Amino acid sequence: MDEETVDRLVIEAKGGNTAAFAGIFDEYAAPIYRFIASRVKSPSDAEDLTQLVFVKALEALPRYEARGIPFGGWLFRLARNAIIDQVRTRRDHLPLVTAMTRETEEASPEAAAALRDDLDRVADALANLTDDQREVIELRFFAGLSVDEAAAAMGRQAGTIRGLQFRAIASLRRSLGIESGAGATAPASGPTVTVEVRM
Amino acid sequence: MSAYDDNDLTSLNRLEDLLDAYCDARLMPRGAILSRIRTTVLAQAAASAASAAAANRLQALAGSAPKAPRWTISSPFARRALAFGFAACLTLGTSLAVLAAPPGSPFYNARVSLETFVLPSEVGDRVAGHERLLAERLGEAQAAAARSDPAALAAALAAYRTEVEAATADVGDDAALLAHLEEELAHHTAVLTALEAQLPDDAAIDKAIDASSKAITRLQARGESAHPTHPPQGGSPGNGPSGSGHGQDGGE
Repeated sequence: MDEETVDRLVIEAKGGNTAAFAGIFDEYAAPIYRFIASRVKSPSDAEDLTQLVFVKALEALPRYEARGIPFGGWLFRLARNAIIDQVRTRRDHLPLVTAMTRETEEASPEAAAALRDDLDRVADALANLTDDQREVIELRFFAGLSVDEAAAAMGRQAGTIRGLQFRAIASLRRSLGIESGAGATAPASGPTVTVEVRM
Repeated sequence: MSAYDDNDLTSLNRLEDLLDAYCDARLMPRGAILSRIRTTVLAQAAASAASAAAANRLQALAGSAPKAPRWTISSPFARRALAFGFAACLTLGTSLAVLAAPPGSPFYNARVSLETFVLPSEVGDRVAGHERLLAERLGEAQAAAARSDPAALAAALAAYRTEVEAATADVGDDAALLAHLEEELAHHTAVLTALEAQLPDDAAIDKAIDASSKAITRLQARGESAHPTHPPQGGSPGNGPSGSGHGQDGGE
C-alpha cells in the first residue's frame, strides 16, 4: 500500500470510517506484531500488546497530524511506547526462544535441528547488538519500515538510522560468520517470509 | 547500496535470508491471532464511531437550543458588593425579626432592651417614652391573656416591671412628670387588677401590680420630699405641687 493510500485511509478513519480503520489494521497488524514479538517474551504478550497498540491508535487518531511524520512511524512509536510500558511493569516473562520458537513441522528432524541452530545463532547475534542497533534491525527487517518511518518511530534522524543499520549489519555478519566472500551457513530449508527491506 | 560490492551483496542476501527465517519461525503471528485482534479492535472502532456520532448529534441539538443565562460573577468588585449586600440583608432581616418580636419569642428581650436604649435623653421626652413603652407592655399582656398565652403574658409583664423601674429611675424630681407617671401607673394598676380578676392564679400579674403599686408609692414619696404639700414649720402654706420644682422658695 503506498503512502497516499495510507494517508487517505487515515483521513477517513479520523472521520469515523470503521472500514478505513480496518484497512489500516490489515496493512500494519502483521508488522506491528512482528516488531512486538521481537521485543517481548511470550506470544500472549505480543498478542495483547498488538491489540493495545491498535486500540491506542484508535483513541489517538483524532489527534494525529502528519506534519512530515509518516503514519507508520507514528504507529510504531505507539508500539514502542507500549512495549516500554509493558517491560517496565512486567518482569515475569519466559525467554523468547523457548516461548516463541516455531520451527517447521514439515522438515526432517536433522533439518529442524539445523534450523534451530541457525535461529539460535541469529538470536545470539541480535542479542550482541546495542539496543539502538537491535531496534533498527527489528523495525527495518522484521517490521519492514522505511528509513523515515523507523526514524519517526525511534525519534531519530534518518541519517542516524542508516548509520545504526550499517553498524548493526556489520556486527551481525561478523557474529554469524558471513563476512563478504566467506562461505556462510545457509539457513535450513523451511517456510520463509519475504520481508521487504529498503537498504 | 553503491558502497557494497558483489561479495557484499551476496553476504547481505545471506544475512537477509537468515533474518527472514528467524522472523518467520519466531516472530510471525500464529493461527488466528491477528483475526482475533482484528475482531476486537474493529468492534471497538465501531463503538467509538457510534459514540462520536451520538456526541455530535447531542452537540448539534445543544447548539440549537437557547442558551441559559450564566449566573457567574467574575468581577471582584461585584463579588464584594454581593457579599456586602448579603450581609446587609442578613442584618436587616435580623433587626426586623427583633423589632417585631412578640412576647415569649427569643428576640423579645432584645427588642425591649433596644426600645429602652433608644429613648431620648431629655427627661421629659424620655419619661414620655417610658410611658409609651409601659402602655405597650400592658397591651401585650392583655393580648397574651386574651389568647391564653401564659408564656407571652409572663414575658410582657416581666418587661413591664423592668420598664416601671426604668421609668421611676429616669423621671427625676419634676412634679408634673412625677404626677403624670403616677397617674399612668395608677391606670395600669387598675387594668392589671382587672386582668387578675380574669386570671387569679397568675403570679406574674400579682408581681406586676406589686411593682406598679410600689412605684406609685415611691413617686409619691419623691414628690412629697421634692414638693412638700405641707409646708415645713414656719413656711408658707400657699406652696403647692404645681410649682416648677422648688416650692420652698415659691412664696418668697
